[in-house]
Amino acid sequence: MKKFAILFAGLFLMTFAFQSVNAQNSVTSAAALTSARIIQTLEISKDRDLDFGTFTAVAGNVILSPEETTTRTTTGPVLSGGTAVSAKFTVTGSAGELYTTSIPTSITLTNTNTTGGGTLTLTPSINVTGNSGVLSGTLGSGNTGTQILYVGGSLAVLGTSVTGLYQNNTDMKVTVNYN
Amino acid sequence: MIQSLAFFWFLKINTNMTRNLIITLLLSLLLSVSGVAQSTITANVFAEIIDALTANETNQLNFGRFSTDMNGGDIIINPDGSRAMQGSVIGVASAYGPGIFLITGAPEASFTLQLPDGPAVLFHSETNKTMFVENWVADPPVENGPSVLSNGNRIVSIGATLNVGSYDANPVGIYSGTFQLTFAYN
Repeated sequence: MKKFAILFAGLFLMTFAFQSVNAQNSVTSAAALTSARIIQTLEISKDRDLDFGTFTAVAGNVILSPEETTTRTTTGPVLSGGTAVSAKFTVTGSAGELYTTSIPTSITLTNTNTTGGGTLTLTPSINVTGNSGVLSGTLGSGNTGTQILYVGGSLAVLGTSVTGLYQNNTDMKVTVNYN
Repeated sequence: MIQSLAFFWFLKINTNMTRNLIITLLLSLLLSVSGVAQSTITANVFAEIIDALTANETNQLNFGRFSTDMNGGDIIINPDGSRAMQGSVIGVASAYGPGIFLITGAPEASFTLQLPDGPAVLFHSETNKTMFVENWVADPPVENGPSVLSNGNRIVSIGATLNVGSYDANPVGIYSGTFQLTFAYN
């Protein structure tokens, strides 16, 4: 029976064995590593939007740091009240996995005041160095990992910028990809 | 026929194998059972530009007319416009009042006021004699925190205390000086 089993295997692996013999006459075994990598779906959800608050039209930049409690600084515009917060996202996937983030290099905010007009240019920034993120937990553990992403940026203001609420609801896209 | 020949060749090769050799064949099964590898989401971005904060002095801080004697004293102008005298100073009927400032800016925006951090010096118009103004107070009170620009406007009233010396120190005449207030969006 043992011989039959070997013969049976030989029938199915005949071609494979043939090639091995051709390449290396003394080959007597063929071993291959089995590899399986089952990973969870990589997802990103939004926890809050990006808001630069209120300020006056003086040439310069309003800068929001990409962190939980954002720091707002200015190189010109006089800061007023309002809610100044960084955008916040939660990335979920397989624990320990590496992924890359992608954000726009520049987006344009438009004055929503019908009598106002004008735009502001935002250069977004994110809290992961080199756009490289890593999910919490141990790689290969099979658990779910998360990472919180924050987006801030530098908003360019002109001395001639018109008063009003500036907004962009379509371009501030954050994309995450498994490495 | 060709398959049979290959099969026997394979058997021949196998017979050349050493006895102790264990043939292990692990079929490589690369599982690509992965979920979605990419995900994108969009955030909203907001910013609001408001009118610059301005402050205009509509009434100057004025201690009015008064007389004093050898000992001097104080004259207090309160933010509500009332005047009080201390020491040997005697008030004389005249116009007096707090400094009044109209602050304008974005509706419902809040702002802070910083009072002078020291006394202001008033100079006699003809001599180098001086008097000091201190104990600055405001309405709305600074200690209450930021104030709100209701409909974009807010009146701020400033009072203070004038220290008056003796006749010798402060001869009759007009004394004037300046002080600085800082208003800022909160």
